[in-house]
Amino acid sequence: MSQTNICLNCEHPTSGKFCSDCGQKTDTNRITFKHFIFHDILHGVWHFEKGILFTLKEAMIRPGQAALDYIAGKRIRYYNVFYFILLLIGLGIFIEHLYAEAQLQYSSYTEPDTEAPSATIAMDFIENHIKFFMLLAIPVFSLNTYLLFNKRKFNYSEHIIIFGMLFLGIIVIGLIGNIMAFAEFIKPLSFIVDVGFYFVPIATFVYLINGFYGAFGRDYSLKAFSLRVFIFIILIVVYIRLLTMIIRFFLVK
Amino acid sequence: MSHNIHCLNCNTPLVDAFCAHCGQKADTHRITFKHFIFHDILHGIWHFEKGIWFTMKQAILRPGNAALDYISGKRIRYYNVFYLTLLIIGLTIYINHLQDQLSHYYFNTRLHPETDSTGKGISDFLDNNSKLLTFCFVPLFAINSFILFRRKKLNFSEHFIISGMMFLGVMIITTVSAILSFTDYLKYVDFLGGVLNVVTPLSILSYLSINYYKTFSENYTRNQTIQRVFSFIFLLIAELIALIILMVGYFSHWTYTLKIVN
Repeated sequence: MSQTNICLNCEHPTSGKFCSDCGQKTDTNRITFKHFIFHDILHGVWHFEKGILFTLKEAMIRPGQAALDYIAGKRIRYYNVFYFILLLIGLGIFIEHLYAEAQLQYSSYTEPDTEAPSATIAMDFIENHIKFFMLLAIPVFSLNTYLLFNKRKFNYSEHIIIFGMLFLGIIVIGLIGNIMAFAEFIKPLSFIVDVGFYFVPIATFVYLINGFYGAFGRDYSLKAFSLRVFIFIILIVVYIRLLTMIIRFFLVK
Repeated sequence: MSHNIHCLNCNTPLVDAFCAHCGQKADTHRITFKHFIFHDILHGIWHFEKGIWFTMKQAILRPGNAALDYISGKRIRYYNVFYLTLLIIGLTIYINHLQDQLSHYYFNTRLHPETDSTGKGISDFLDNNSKLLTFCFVPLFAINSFILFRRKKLNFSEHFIISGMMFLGVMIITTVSAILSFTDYLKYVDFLGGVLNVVTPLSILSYLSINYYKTFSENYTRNQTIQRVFSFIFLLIAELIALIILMVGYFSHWTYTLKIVN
């Protein structure tokens, strides 16, 4: 479609691809069926847009640098990381629901309804409110990176952006693991379940280190960087222990 | 905040509020706590943004002309109408759920009334697909206005935009009425519930008639427009009745026997 020289929205003269006064695209044209389906329906209902694929690619390949780019001001191409995380958590819950149904149908597996010991009560509570706890992880772990990797003098909000980007990748890895678990129901492919069992933790670990290196690697010597990553991982374990202790304290009389 | 001279995203020189090359805002600045809360979290999680208020205001006051503006190219200020409708349908479902619980609590009504299998099939189907079924009104509106108001020379997708905007207004009226009917549980204003049962359908009908009249009146004479608006409402009611007959038929295995068991 030809570009108009006057913005259709605010009648400001335009020269590039966007109106410099109101930000509307200059190639705004008549609503056709294709435009309607792709822009209004898909975008509206499933948030399908190219920003999602770009953000996903960036989060998988170079999460650290992508977050730095975003912070530095290259923001327009990115989809909102936190909303993306919510969408993926929703997708994960749906996949797990499908998995539970498939398990019920194929393995005739029934949930044992015995009295749970106190240790599993806390874990059950976390599992039932997993969406909340996963979101809680972002501000808490960002506080760790804020304290540990502070040479660049990023503020706390910027650390949340960095960890949000990393968290997005971690959730994607978890989802791939969830999908791999479906191989259980296909006999010749059931070895994938064992692969997935090792794949998820190893990939998460490698991904996390790669992400941290991309974001903070150039600020520290290799030794100082490794030490900080090590402390970060120790802190994760400490936090999870603390969390289960607190929940157990409140739930178990 | 100081104004950037070059776009932080693509380095194009900036002249105004937006980059002419990539469309990023010229006032992109360091992420502060306030920016983070308002832009990243609220916008991200609840889609809270000013486009929502503007679109809702337009949908209530001048839905047809707003849709025509959108179609003619004034699009940037509008929030996606279909997504906004989905959000509001979600809100109404939540409100209805709250009301079911309240009426169970105060009036001791059963949450799952017992009916025969046909009735149960229908009510289950309605419950499970209410979001989808409510959305069916949009294509119905679009087909009717596409058939009746040919002289505007709009394509079907453009009629869809108009019906989306109209339906948004209808959903806003429904939601307001759903919120107001919480007065059932208040002592001195519980007469409102009875009033609402009459006022809500009437206001939806008049909303639709007035706004379809306003949207297309410039292409037709006064009488022609009134005639077409009436045909629109008539077609809509006929289509709804046809849908209900089909649905009852489907769930009674085409025998049309429906017993009400209490």
